[in-house]
Amino acid sequence: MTAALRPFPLCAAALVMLAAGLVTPQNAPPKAPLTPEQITFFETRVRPVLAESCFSCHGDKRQVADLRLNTEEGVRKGGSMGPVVKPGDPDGSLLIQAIRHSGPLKMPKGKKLPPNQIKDLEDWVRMGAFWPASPSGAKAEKPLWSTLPVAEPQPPAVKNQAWAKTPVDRFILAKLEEKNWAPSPPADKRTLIRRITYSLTGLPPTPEEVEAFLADSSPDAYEKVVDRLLASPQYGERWARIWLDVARYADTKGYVFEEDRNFHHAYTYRRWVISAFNKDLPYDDFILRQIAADRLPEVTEGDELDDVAALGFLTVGRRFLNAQPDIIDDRIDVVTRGFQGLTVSCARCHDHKYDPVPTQDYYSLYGVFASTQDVVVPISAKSIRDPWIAHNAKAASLNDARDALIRKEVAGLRARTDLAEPVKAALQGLREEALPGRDVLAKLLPTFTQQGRDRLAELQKEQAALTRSAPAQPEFALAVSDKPDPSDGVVFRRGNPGNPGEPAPRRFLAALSPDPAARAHWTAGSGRLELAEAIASPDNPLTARVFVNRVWQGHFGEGLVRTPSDFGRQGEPPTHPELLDWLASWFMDNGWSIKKLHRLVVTSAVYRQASGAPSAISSADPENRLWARQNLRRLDLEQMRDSLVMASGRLALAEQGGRSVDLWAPPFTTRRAVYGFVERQNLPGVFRTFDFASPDSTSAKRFQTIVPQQALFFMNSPFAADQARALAARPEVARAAGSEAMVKALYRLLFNRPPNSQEIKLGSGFLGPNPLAPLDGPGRVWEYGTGRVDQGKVADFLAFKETGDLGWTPTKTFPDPEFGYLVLNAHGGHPGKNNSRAIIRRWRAPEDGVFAVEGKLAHGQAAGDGVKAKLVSSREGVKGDWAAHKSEAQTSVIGIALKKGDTLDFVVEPGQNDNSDSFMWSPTVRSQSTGQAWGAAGGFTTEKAVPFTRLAAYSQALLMSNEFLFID
Amino acid sequence: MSLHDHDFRLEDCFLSRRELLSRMGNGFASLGLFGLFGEVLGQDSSPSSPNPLLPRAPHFPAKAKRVIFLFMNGGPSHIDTFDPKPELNRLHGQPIPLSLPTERRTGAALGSPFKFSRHGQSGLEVSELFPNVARHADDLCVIRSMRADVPNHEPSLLLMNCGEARQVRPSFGSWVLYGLGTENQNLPGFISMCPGGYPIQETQNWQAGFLPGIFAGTYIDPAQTDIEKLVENIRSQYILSQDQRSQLDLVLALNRQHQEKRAADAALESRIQSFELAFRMQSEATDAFDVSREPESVRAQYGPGAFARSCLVARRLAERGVRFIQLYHGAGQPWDSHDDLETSHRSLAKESDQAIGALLTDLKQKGMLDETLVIWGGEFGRTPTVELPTPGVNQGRQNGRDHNHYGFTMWLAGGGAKGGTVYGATDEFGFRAVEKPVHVHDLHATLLHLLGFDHEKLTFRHAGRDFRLTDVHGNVVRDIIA
Repeated sequence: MTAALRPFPLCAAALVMLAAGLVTPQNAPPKAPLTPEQITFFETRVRPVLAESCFSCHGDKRQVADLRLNTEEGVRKGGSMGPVVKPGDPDGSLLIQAIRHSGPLKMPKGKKLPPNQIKDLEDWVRMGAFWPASPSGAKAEKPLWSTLPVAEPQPPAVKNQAWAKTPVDRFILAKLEEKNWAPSPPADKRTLIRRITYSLTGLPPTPEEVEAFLADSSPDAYEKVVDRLLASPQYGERWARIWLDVARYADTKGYVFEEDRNFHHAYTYRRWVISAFNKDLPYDDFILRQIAADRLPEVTEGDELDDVAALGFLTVGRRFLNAQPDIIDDRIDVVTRGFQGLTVSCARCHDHKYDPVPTQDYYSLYGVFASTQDVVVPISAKSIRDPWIAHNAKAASLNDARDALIRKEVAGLRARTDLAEPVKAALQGLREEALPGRDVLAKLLPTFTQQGRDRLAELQKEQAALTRSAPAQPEFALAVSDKPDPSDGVVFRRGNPGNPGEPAPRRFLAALSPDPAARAHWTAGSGRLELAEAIASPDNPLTARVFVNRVWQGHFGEGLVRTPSDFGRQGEPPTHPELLDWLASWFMDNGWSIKKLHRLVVTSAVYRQASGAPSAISSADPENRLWARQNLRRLDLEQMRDSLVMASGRLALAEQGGRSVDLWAPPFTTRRAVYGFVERQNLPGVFRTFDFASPDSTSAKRFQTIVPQQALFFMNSPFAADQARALAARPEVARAAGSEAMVKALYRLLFNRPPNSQEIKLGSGFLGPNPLAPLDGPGRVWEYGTGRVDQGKVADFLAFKETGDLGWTPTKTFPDPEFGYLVLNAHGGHPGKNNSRAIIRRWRAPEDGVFAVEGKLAHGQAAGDGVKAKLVSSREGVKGDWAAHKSEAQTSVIGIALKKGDTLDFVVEPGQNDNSDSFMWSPTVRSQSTGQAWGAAGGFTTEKAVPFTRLAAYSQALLMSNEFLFID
Repeated sequence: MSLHDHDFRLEDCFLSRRELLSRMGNGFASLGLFGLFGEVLGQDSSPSSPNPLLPRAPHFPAKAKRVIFLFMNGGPSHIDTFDPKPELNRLHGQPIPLSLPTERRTGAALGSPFKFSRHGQSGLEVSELFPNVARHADDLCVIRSMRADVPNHEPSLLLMNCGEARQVRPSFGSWVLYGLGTENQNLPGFISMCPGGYPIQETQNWQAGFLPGIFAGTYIDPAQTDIEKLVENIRSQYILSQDQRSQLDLVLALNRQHQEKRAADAALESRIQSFELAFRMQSEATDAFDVSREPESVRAQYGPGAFARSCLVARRLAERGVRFIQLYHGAGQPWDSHDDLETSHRSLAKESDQAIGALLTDLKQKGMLDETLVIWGGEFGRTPTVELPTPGVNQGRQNGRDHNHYGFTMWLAGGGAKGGTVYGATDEFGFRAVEKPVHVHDLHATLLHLLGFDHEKLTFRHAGRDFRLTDVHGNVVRDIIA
């Protein structure tokens, strides 16, 4: 307590604690029944004063300084400064000192209570600070439903036994019958196969699959479809994505300052999840591996260590600039909400306000994760990983030696005072602890000691030799392991690591332990394995309930519990608690088999109902809590995107696994959306527009918004246009005889049904007599090519046909023997060998008008003779003429009158020779009448222009339809 | 009648449209939203639309209908702009009797090289850096006692933008959009502009956090001039407008047929409407971002440069009913003058003063200032003491200031803020807010109040808690409300 000697206010808290006699043990007030006089005194003179002056900061809503004065327990416990009331001793009670303003703490804030009120409170403390029982106290003691053991209810009796195909149906039907409601009729077969295929694989059925199902009149035709889908690899890809929402999967770390922001190995976790679903890994093992794979002998003793990748569940979260408390909080959150449906993170700063999770429990888990470290481990077969490990160890030791040497030399330089200015400046630019980069090192190196330079050269030689002999790289997992010195932590009061409180032994949550008082203390290793086992236990009341509910939600759009990651008091209670329990115990009895669970749910009559219920029922039960119908659903982002690619006939179903790919950059990948790269820091707009699960924390449920930005995506995105074009080009569509046949072919591919007469009429009307003719599109306002200027006109214009990383080129070869270095990109390019091979950026006027050109021509090389540039109008000839040789020129021209279809050519000639003729010129054309602008950079694309036909426009319209986007 | 009188949670609007239907009888009807929905979507639209961007009334009537937040990222020096400190100038070069830890080491007092003078009826003191802003002295409400929590950019930016320094939380703009929806369905409701790239912390500054993604700010780089680069998918490169129209007419006919065969469902109807909205958005957005449609005289008032153009775009957006517009000075952290403060602050002010002045004039002339809450400031201020050389972090020159979260200045104009006012004060050197300190949480509470919200009641249930912008903090500063 020497801190108390420091002057106020630095250590006000310590002073207060001393004054308050912190050493006094907490005396529980005597529990004798109160007299009526005491109760009257309390209710008229004490509680009103506290309520009026204290509760706003120390009540239900806020607990400033962790202090709550509206309950007996709160008063007894005190706050972050310790106990506030010492029964029988007003002078020794912090509360009384504070209201008297006798110490440093003066309460209430900004005013002093009148003397009579102070006296009443003093008397109350003197008399023992008694507190009459409150009738509302009982509420909190009722146990939380979800923490009670899972029951094994019998399916109830129902009247309509014919309808109830499975026990699941009897639970649903019984409640409907109570209301005298009938369930909806079964969905027709076409609807059903589309629904179940989306449900299990995230994809629509193919026309052949639909036709086979329609033709199959056997009684188990549907069950056969279900089994086929569950056995397909697409099942795992779909359900992995649902789990990846829970696991807040992303390929990046979030905001980082200077380090690499990518999680290069996150994909191995995704691959593991997909494979776990596909091979029907029992759910208890699914849990154990994701929390503690590194501690399971069956995992770590294999040749390949694929299962270690399961630990990505813990590690792919946001990195919070490497702030440990936040990383650990994220892991506690993903584990407890993800597997337990319990919002344990709410207890980071104070006891959970609604659920039975004390802060100490949070810090018990905190200790587990604080005793865990992140490691990146090779998981490929032993024959690959062992040589790599050996190689890597050598490389690391060489690196360390080199770093140490450089640090030593830099430290030596910092001590010197005789350095030249450039060296001094380079040192000033370098942080004390930092290693110089290549450029800075080059500046410093000459002043290193001779010995240091020699040794450095040697080390570099050794490194180069080692690099040449590098073995094949294995694949890696973002794994964790137990720290060598695991230990318990303490409670951080109010979540503040600088304010340690009571010890928090590593052990399981009290609320989920059969006997909280007898919880095991986890001392072998971090405790992660024990945590995983406690979660994966059949005795855990929440594990199975939470998961069966997620599966139900996956098939119905809503769960039996509509807050799937919150089974606490702030969440919603189940619509059918008995069904939830029955499913949970059935699931455990059936070996935690996820595929069996799916089969049970989707073969139920409940699942197979039609979605459009009679309006009486839908208005009586608008939220469908009694499940008297299926829910109509919008495709989610991945379903929507994969369906579009599938419509184009290009979805690459055979490509499974592998690294993440950019879904939205042309040329568009044809892989499934589950393999899309997720940049959590700057998530591309389309993810947000279509309600992708935020990868910032575990996500229980997708939003289903409908906004115009979604419509713009379908109407205008290059992606949607590309799919529409490819759909129209499918042989069965493009080669169909006549527009009616085309309409029919498209309906079969997209909707698995023939169009009705009205639809044929609309379609044929739109397609007109010439469906394959290209539409008059806005076309390309920009074209790229070569040619020459002859008598004020551009002659021999040859449009480029090839594109690549460099931009547009005349042929695939670069440089081309005939055309030389001809290339053009968004910002500039390079002309050909002579002036007849000038490079030309051509702009075609989309409308009549008067136009202006702005821009800057820049040439940077001293070598050669620079470039010559001309602006040539097809109507009026040369409108501008500039030259640049290691210089810049403003290329502004106004008042260029053009008719629609006229061209403006931005021509760059090489001059006498084409040596060092790279240039920058990215002009903008602006309409002087409307103000509209066309920038060369903005309008630049390396996508090859393909005409958009009427058939493509019609195909796109069908892709925009509600029938395409919604599942009945 | 407030939004929360009926046990109605705002998130229900889109979290569960079915739930909403069941509440139509009480919550929505009494909010008078039928009219609004009808106006926006056409008379046969259902009030349970899952479009969460439709306009909503706040808790209580308020003056401010929209926000323009001029974010001077990097941290402008308050003592060189809006908080004059003669005592500091007197002590220039000498130690000051107050030492507070900031990000880096600082030394003796560094007097301000800029002259202050009084402006307007109110006599508000503004430095020579902002002559054009100073002309609006009587509209400015200068808070000189701002404080934040730490002297580092990343957490302070997030605190200012999202009310929390480290964890993922929705941004102020996304809360406002969530609370109010937006008046113009043809434009994004929350637009964040930063010329030339991102500020640090990037898109997290305008994130939606756990709110639906559609409430996130739409990022625009005003250094771009092509509309295609500004607004995603705003124009088709493939098809002319008239063909697109007939395409959409076909879609409408097919969707109506589809709808007839099904039970009434708000989602189906909303999707039908969304194409009409999108079609209109194409022309409206093109128009809104094209400053070349402004008369030459107006463009001249704003002056040259990307920031100036952004200010003009901001006014055009505000005019068209965009709810929340945030405008950063530039990519990275331009106002972070650790060295050469005099020259860098002079050029930064030159880039922004004329445009901000013109923006205020323009809003006033158009009668919009009363309803537009303009906010100016950075994530923190700067130290009154000179920053000392540290290898690797500055140029080694002793003529700049370090970060200062203990005390700094922000100003408000319009939108119900009390003009011609100075609120609170820092100490005599400008180091720490000593008089009526206003924490960032208090500022947020106050701004929400100006927009008609009780900051404790604008909540969203997530992960077992009802979250709000001000978390468990925030007091409304009533003295700065007109």
